[in-house]
Amino acid sequence: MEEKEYLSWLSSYTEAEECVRTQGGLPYYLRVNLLKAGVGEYLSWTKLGLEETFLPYAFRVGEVPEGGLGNTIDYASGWMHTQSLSSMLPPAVLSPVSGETILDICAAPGSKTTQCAALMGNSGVIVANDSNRGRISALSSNLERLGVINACTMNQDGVRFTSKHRFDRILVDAPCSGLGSNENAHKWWDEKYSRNISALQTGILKNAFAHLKEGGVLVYSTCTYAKEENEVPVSRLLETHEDSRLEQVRVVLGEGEGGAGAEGKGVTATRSGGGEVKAGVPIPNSQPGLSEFGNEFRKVARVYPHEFGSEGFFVAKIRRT
Amino acid sequence: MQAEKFSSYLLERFGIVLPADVELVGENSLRVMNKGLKGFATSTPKGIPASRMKGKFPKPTTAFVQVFGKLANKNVISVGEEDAMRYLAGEEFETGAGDVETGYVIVQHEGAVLGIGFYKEGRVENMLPKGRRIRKKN
Repeated sequence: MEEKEYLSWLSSYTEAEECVRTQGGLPYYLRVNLLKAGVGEYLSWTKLGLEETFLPYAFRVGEVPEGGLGNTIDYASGWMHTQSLSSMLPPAVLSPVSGETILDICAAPGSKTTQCAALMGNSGVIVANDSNRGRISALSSNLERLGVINACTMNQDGVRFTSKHRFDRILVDAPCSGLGSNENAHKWWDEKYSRNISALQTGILKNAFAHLKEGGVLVYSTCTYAKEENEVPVSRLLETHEDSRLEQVRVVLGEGEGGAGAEGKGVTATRSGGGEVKAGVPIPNSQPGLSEFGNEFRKVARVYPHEFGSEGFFVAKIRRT
Repeated sequence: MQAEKFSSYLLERFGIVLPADVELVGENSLRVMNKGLKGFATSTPKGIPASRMKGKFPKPTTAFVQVFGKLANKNVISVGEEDAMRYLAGEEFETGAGDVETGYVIVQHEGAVLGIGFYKEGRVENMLPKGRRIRKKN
């Protein structure tokens, strides 16, 4: 799609020119790997210049060293992982805790899987599935570098994924057009692409939901703006599954109950006896879902680069009642 | 059986006692995983690689020592930033390590375990897999 046409389309969602301009020069972020180092320990050790974010284990990188962040002792030792701040939102909303059973149904290359493992302190179980066999090696490589010992990988199509197990929490970070994460994606993208992939996203979401325990939580996310890939799959699930309901997207600050590196910044998740999050914070500078989908969709979050300072993302939290 | 031998080796060589909630599984190549995964039926490997037999001795993997190497109290070589970068680039380096015995050693930099090496006569042979190496600045 031509840039002018794309800007016109995007302007129905947000301030398009500002959004596109910001997306071209987003800062780098890293996540302290709480499985290997506490936040305080890492900050007193690293030579990188870092700025705080609203997530206590996430930092904006001031100046990227010569050779890139991947060529640092920090990265090679697995004490940190480079990951956009937006990409850290879905696991922070999912907020898995120690001992739970988690399914990450579109897991590769594993940034969110490894974040879940850190929040769980390497306990419980994570099934990290991806349909793309070629991307499983990148997933395994990240699990190894970051020291994740509570996960196994699977290579099944997300729509047909099957397991005899039912999960406490499920992450569906669906394949998408990537308009929020790739500044050039609009060059090959058109609305028909989003309409077509919407069916796949809905299929994965519905199949994942079928594997969720009663009372369990599912987080659906994409890194794109198109409603066909965001509100539409979620609304299709809600329409066909009476036992599904949206919950307000909130981010748990901290690494979860029993998580490693527990000194954090004095911030830990607060949970009631049932293991549920009592408190969290809204995603700063985020927008609610599109009003045309009704008031319920005020509970989901849309994140735009010019407002949030990181990639464009969509996050919805769904509970099985 | 291999798991028991490897556990004994870890204790004897490095003084490492693995936490009670982790388990070693496999035969010639061992993997380490959280015990919670044990009862979870999948056909795929669980956890991360822990060791491979190299000659008569099990060689701990880089992934393994980067997690559990901090529990070691002997045969650990601490390096400064320059040698750390050399090690991560796949190079050998010399060390004046006094109480290190010939054999596998854990290489660490200011508390961060970098990986495994083979120490002999003042030199540390680099055992870091090629895929884990960094590009060294010229």
